[in-house]
Amino acid sequence: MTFLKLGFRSLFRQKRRTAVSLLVLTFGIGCLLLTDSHSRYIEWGLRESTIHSETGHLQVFHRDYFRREETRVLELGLENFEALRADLLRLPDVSLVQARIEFMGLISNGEKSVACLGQGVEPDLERRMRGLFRIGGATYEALAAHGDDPHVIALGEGLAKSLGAGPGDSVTLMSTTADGALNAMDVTVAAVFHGAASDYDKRAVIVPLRTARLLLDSEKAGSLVVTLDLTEKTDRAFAAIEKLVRDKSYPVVLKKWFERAAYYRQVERFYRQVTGVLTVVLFLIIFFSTSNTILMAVVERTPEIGTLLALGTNRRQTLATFLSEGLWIGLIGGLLSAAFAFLATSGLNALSITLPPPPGLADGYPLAFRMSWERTGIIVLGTIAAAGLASILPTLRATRMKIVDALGHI
Amino acid sequence: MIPAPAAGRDLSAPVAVLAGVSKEYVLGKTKVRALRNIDLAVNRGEFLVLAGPSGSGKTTILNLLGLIDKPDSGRVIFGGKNTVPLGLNALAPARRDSIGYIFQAFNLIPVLSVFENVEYPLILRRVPAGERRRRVESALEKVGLSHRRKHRPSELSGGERQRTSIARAIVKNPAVVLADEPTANLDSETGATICDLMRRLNRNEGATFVLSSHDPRIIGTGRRIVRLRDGAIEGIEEQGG
Repeated sequence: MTFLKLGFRSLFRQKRRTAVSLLVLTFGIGCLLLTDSHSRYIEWGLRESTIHSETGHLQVFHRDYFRREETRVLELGLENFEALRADLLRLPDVSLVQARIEFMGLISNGEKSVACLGQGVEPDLERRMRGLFRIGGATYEALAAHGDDPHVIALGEGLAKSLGAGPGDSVTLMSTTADGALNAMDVTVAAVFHGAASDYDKRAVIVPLRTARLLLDSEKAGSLVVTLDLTEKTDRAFAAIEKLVRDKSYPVVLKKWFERAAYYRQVERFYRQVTGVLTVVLFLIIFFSTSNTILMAVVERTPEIGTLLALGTNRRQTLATFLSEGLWIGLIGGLLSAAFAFLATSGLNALSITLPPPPGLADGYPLAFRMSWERTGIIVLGTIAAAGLASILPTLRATRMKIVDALGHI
Repeated sequence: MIPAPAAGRDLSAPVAVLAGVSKEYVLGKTKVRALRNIDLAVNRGEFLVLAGPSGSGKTTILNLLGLIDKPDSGRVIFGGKNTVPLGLNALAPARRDSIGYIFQAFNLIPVLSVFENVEYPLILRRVPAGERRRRVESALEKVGLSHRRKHRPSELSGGERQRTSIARAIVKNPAVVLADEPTANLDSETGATICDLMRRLNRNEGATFVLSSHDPRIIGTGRRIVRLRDGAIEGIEEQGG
């Protein structure tokens, strides 16, 4: 306890030097925490928006869907999926189950034809899925407003521009049916939407599920999308659905959301790498800064080290004194940086700043932060450990001194 | 571990003995013979003064008796055992338990208060808190510093700092208190007071003191005076009282 007290009080001997060390630590680790909190926000926001606008938490496919390529559209679709949907909806964590069909086709305004990527959806369920994360669902509302009318379509912004079409205009949608025949439908543009990526907007169309089934001449669904009440329940729900599928011998296979979210995985990897590099750089700065502070302390206090050793302090206790000084710097710096990061994230979140869109994306994104106390705790502990480690080498120098030399040191 | 020369042992045996001790230092490119074949026994309860000019070997003898340095040859017997083969770290318990040090420059720990400086050797010995407090208060009372217990060394005069240093040395009831030029950094009046204090502690408490000095007034207080010159004992004088 005495060595901790000695270490703590020694921080005040050279107040300016200690203050500089603490400033380096506070701003360095504070910025690391800010970066980490922003990455956490981006990952969380992207995760939830990916789930609630694209993947759901789980997806159900025909069991051979990932084993071989389809030779015809919906060859590996889900037949009689309503029974499975009813069973899924009876599970406790499941909020929504909607069917989807993906298809490729051509869309024409009579003068110009453009290749398109189509998605057949249940507009009302899609709107509700987005509503769970408060994502706007205007496109789906517009489609749902037409009730059972299958002759409606929503166009991506780029595609609408390319065709010169807008809401109320009529276009022709063409594709091959499940039997391989060519089929076409006249549809009215109910909405124009813009997705996150501008390239996607130039090809994307959304139609009601019924429209897709008529166009493709099939009663199947491509997949079922399962949305849960909480993302954290994904593993539990996965296990429950697997059991259900096994018990009732449904010929399906399950995928978790992140297996179907390649973009999310790329972004997550990118942010982890950025944070990782920053962490290494900042911890090196902390290491050398603390090491320098302790080395200076050892050099300046050499006669005092001699006195302590002459009084009967052993080398381990001398080590503890200087090591504790480094640990105190780490602890105080770590706590100050956590406080700094907390205040900065709270302030910046309150300002609601929006950053410009990155290349390839249509929208900007908020400069927002999601501080994790668990990760903050780990980083603060890491700071203490780094400062402690940084103190070891200069402290060993102190403990190896000859007592008479240390006492006579000027 | 070197046993402390304490109760239960032969009280007539010397506290420490230097037997045939020699020591050389290298200063730049020249070798300096600091001690030449010194034989000296420090007896329990005595007030021994090492006298001599600078470079005569006083501090080297104190360093050897204080177990913070090693001779090139000869034996340093402390608590009945030859300490020369042992490493300085292994001798830390003997320094902690049996030796009190008073330095010329006081060498107090600046971030600790007077009380905490005096308490420090007892913490090293793991003395329980209650007993620590009692012993520190008693030591401060003996040196007349009870009223300054909460002050830091920087807030004390030179004499008060040296009295704190004396209290730190005697608080653990060591077998021997070693004082290296304890009055050199003090004015003559304060130096005399400090010397009187050490003599009183020797007389009243039975504490064994070994002092080094080249100040004739301090030397005159010694009951046994060992005169040194060029690392050798020139003569030993015994004085009454």
